Amino acid sequence: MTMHSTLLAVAALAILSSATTGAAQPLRAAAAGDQIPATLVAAPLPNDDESEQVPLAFAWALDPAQPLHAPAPHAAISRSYWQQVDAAELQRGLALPLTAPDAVIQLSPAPGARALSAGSLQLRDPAGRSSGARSVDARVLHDAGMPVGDGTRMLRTGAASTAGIYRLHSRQARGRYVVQVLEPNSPLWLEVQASHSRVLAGGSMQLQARLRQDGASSLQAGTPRSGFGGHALLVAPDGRSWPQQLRPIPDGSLRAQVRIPADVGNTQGLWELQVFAQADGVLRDGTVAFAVALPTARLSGQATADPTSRRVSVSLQMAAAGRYEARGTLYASTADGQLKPVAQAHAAAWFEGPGQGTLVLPFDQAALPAGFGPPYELRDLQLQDQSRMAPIESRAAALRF
Amino acid sequence: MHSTALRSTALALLVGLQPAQAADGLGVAFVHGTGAHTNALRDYWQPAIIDSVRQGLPDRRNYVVINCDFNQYMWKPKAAGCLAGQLSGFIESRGITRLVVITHSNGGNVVRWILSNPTYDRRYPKIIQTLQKVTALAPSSAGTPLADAVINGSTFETLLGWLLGLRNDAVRQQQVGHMATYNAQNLYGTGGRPALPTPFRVVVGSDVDSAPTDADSYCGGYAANLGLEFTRNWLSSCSDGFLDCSSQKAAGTVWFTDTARTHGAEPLSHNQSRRACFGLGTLLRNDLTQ
Repeated sequence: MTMHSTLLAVAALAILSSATTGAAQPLRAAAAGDQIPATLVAAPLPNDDESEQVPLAFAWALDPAQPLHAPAPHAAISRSYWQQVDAAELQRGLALPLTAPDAVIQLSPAPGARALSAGSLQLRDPAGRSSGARSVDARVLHDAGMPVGDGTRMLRTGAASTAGIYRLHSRQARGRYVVQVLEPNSPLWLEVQASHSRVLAGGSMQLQARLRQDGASSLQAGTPRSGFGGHALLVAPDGRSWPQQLRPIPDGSLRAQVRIPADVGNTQGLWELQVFAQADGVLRDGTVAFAVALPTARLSGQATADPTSRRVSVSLQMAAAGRYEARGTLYASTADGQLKPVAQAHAAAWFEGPGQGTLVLPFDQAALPAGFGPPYELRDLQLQDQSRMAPIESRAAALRF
Repeated sequence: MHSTALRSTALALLVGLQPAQAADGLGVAFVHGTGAHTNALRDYWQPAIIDSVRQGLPDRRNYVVINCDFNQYMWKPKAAGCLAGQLSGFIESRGITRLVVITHSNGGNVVRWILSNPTYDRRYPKIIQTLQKVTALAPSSAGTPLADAVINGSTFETLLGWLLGLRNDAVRQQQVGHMATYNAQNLYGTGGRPALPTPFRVVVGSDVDSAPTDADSYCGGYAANLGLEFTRNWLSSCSDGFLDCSSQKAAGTVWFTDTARTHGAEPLSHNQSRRACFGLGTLLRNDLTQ
């Protein structure tokens, strides 16, 4: 996959000065899918900010034979569900609808809840008999590298088990528990997808959930199931959450238009949209993750590119101090006019605060493959806020030179 | 943050290295997976595989076993920053000119963070320039449903706090949906994305043997294999008990899938792919100078 890599870190002056020759030209107009801040906002640095202060630039060669494409937002596939339950439910017998044999059930006590031994936990099958499920404790799961909470138990119903309503029962239950069910053999699965894998603070995105059923006949595969409903939760990295209303639409799926708060907090990490769905007694949940960025800076819309040196200077506008990085992919032309990816370049520097700045992408540091030359295109140009781990701006097609 | 010279000196003292220039510049670094380690040689790898691999070095002293806090997000100073510091110290103190990194599980993501973000830290470019190749043993490149199973229910509730008390950011990071987003935005080497600047070759673990009557189940520790036999129920039919094969193959190129090269065509469970099981040490040793 990786080719000969030609790499270089260059010094501060080379990055910050206008190291390219030629006239500035406007970046291409935004296209669908591009993320471009309309306005900028000031923001504090994270409390534990340890951003690099030295300007750095780096480039390496890409294999022109390996085509690149922007990944679609992740579609989560789920054959599982989880729920919080209290001790009274377990003492009465918690109903667990299972749609297929050999399900896995995980029970985790919340802090302060009583851990339940294998002997104190019974799983009864739809006929009311003890299911004979095998179980392991947290120690075995820890040995396997799964850092579950203390007191967690995992049960497996077995290949000979049947579908139906099972009951998880324990008279010794005290406190609250999380119960998760995975049905790896179930024909019913939930698909959850957001319209974007990144969004600006205050922006919006669409969430879609579908319950699918793969069946014995290919004609049934992927058929939406009736009686489908549910709800969703927007969860920030700092733990704040906002309920989202899922509405049914005629194709059988559920949709929500999700508004991201303008106040996104200061905690690094991804945001989540969690979907909790049910249909005809079948439970499923699924989660997708995405990045949220405060628009603390943006590309000014101008760049200077030199086809001789293949250095591209991009101008920035900043509203907040931080370390900002530009990165992009250089496409070069073959003799018959096809554009292929030939190099990747990054450049980053610390900027003290509101104002203007420049970053130079040193594509000249990556050798151009034989048979390639101008005209060039700069694609997948991105601006990242490295201090806040935020992808601020992205342009699929930025410049031709 | 970056008093590199000071860190290098301190590191050399800590690991007992002399700041001498080795006759041959080939060195190998062992980078552990999730966890905060102070003695990964004993607690994560075990000496047998380390000693087996370093026999392939022209100078057998040219190795380092990394000890960092990989319970953090991959980009954090205690994770990638710590790794960069220890690799830089190793390169400088031993005069390493060709570095091979052997990593396991989530260590592959931390290494890939450095390779994908060369301008994040002044130490990264030199490391990338020195790095000849990465051998990623069962890397969690596309995450694991087991991470989701651990995190589910940990959603913050204003009045209750984190329900299960789990705030391990490395586990959060390795949820399937999270890794998909990191791969799409912050990391290279997955399908359709720019290649990494250094070869990233993967050894895939494809199954778990845990039959008590099978001696192979005991290599690396029977208890771990017993647990992996259970956790594999969360995964697809091709898995090492902790990771789907598809996750292991998601970034870089496949060097080999366990059964294609191991003694007796034995599979490597997620525990065994960091142990001297079924000839893995020899395979890694012979690959050092390739």
